[in-house]
Amino acid sequence: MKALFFLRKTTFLKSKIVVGIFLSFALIACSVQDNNKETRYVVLSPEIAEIMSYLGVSDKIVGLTAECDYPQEMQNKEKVGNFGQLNLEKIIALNPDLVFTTALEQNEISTQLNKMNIETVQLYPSHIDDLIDMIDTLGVICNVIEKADSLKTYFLTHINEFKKIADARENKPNVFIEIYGDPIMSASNDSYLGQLLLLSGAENIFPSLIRDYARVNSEDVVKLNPDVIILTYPGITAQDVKNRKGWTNINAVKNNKIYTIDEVNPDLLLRAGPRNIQGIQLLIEIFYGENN
Amino acid sequence: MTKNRRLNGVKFSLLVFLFIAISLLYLMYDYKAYNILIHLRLPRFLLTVLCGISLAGTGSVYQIMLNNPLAEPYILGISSGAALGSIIGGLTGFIVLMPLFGFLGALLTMILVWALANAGKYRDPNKLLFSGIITGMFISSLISLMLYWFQKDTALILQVLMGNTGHIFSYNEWIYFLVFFVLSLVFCFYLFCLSNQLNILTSGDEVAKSMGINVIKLRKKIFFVSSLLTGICVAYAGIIGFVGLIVPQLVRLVFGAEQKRVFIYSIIGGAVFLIFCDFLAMHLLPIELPVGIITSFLGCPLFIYILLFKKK
Repeated sequence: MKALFFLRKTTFLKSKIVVGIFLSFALIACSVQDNNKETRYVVLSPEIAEIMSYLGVSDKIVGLTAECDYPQEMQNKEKVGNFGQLNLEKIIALNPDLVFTTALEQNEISTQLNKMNIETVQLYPSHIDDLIDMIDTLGVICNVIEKADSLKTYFLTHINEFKKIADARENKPNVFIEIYGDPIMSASNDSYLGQLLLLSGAENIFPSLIRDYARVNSEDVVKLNPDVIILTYPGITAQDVKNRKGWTNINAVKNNKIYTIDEVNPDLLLRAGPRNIQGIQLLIEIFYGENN
Repeated sequence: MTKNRRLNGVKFSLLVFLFIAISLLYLMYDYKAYNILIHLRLPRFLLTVLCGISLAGTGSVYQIMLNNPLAEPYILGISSGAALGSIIGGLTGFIVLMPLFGFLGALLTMILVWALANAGKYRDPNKLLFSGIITGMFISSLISLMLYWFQKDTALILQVLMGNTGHIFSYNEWIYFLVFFVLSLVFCFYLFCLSNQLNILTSGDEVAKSMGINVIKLRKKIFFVSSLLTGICVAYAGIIGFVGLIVPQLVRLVFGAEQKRVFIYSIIGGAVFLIFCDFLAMHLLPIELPVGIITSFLGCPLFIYILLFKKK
């Protein structure tokens, strides 16, 4: 109240001087900060956070979403919201140099941040090749090109090896991946998950769908008779699937080949990153009972 | 008179024939295996029939009981309650128990609406309508909140809100469903038996009272029975819009307003209409559509057509 009173009384000239002093202080403060400041990243995608930690730049991350929970060190960092519900003010308050976003629901937040002159980089790997590009891009941006190259080599070597083995296999098991239960949804060969499945040497019973991840008819699942069922979402047990009316004759149900998130950690398969190698190995173990 | 009666007979048998034809098409199209037909297609068919019958029947009764041509089974908030129950069940990880949660939601909402309608000193026939609509809106806001909060489960919430007859039954659940199915048929028959009283109610509450009908008791009976019917439908199939609103109105346009006839034609018409819509929802596109979208998409032009071309 007093401040307002003061403002009203000052003449135009006086107020100009006051503003000028304030501005110059602010400018000095900014330039000092700029010189000493570490690069500050806000990361809104768990996949990017994971790869950044592999590249050894996780100390530059100042803000994350609640889903970015791997590796352990990420859990102590400031959270700026959920995947789709982000707190814009919190992101801005963290004063980031760069915000990493993913696609889908986050297109809008990129636009909003750009409007406020905050730079964003959008990375969304929908294919394994995209992941390679993504590691490249992150290496360049974070200035750790060598580490990025070695991560890339590690990843590609394994992937190529898996591919060779998978191509040579015969009698591949028919697999049904259920990514959601009500309605039943699955993943096609074009989806990231579908590509990992192919690399593990299995046949997807829904090789092509109208979208990468789409709703499927339970009649078709019964008709296509999968040998293995993999459930990648919480809240369902193998028994629930066995109890489904009409599913008793499915091979996977008869032979007890139903795997839930207790056996297969879905993060290894659903998040694009170096951990996919472990995910594929786990799938191979399930399908062929061997550890490659 | 006899000519009229014969004409009605023809119309009735035509509708029954249509029902049988469309049922066979629904069950046999894209036949995969006997096992699939019995365990997956037939349950879906029965659920669709149940929804068609219950929603259209309840709609026809509500429109008279609430004295409002725009009344539908969902107008008194029961559907929102059932949907919220199902959604909470699904979100808390009890996907298998979703119908049970939905039915509980419907029961609680029903009690709440009836209590609200009878609370306070102000008395008015429209009070039930008001309290139902307000309760429904309040619950809808909670559903929107869930939709916003749990974005990962958008698919689950949307299929409850847009209607999905593709419910996957477990073996135990199937037995409960059959019990509910028979119960619903009994409820429908009960509503049918109230037709004479409803016919009198169309002349207004005062006339009905003067003819010895206990109007409040009648409303109470109808409200509870139809709420249970709606609750069962929404619990299993989500909110399938339009059927309960338009099918009875269509029937009145075509067959006249006598409630007994309206009710019979409504339940058969509702079943035929919904089976047809669900058939399209399954086979129209490579990806299955929520049936609630098809009902309005098809129903609106159909209604306009009959409205424009009906001869006086």
